[in-house]
Amino acid sequence: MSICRRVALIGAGLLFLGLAFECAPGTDCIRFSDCADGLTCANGQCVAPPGAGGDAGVEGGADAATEGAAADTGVVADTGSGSAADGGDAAGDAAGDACAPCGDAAVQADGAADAASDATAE
Amino acid sequence: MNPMRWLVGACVALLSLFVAAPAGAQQYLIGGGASLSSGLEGGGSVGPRLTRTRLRLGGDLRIDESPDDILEFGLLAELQPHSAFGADLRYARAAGDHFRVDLGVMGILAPSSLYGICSSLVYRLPISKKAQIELGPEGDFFFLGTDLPDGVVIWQIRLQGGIRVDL
Repeated sequence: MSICRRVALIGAGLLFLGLAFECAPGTDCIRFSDCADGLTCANGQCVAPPGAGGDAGVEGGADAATEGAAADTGVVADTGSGSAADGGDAAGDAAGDACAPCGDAAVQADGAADAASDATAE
Repeated sequence: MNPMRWLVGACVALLSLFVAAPAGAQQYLIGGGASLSSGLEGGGSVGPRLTRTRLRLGGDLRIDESPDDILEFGLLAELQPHSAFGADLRYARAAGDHFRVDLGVMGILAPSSLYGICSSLVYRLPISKKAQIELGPEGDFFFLGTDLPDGVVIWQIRLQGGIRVDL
């Protein structure tokens, strides 16, 4: 097997490894479908559509996610709203740094996003 | 016109129909393959950022008389973080033994629509008589569709890799 073929095979293997462990995209939106249900994409951010109830501008799916998760488990009552806000920031940071170790942070961000979807649906 | 001369001419014309070598039938050459791609995307005030991973199951068709002109078609599935499905249709041109360039139209059809154009350069590395590994960059532009915010054109630069088989 020639050296060129070996290099190409190694490159192909690395490509698929990279794809397999791909990090989650950030919380910015570029398409409507990037946003969770009930949110729309405006100026690169997922926001509540005009005329919708609740907060006029929900910036970032991660914040909404954490707030929703905290409300589900009753954490807000125990720790206060300040902790919930901190949790939102942490989730946002995790999503922003999602490419650092391509694993836990991305998974946590995904989990927060899922919780956000649940909270929005409720 | 002399009837005898007309008859001889007709016979020669009739005979030529059977003596002439028959034209060879065109043969279709078909291939199929699968590839994964991902890369960077942007549009409007966002980006560049990581784009969605895309799986493409495709086929290609050409005729033996003009093997460098290739018609390609594919089914697309965006895998993560959100799923979507679509299709593409491309014209490809072989550039040498190992390279191929293509240009075509692409559409994401469900759950929301997104339409645009695509182009790619592919390097084919033979691994057997009928199978090749394909690697190369791809550029996509989306400018129509219900999934597109107003005034936004999405660009994507992808690196794709996969396998193709001559059927």
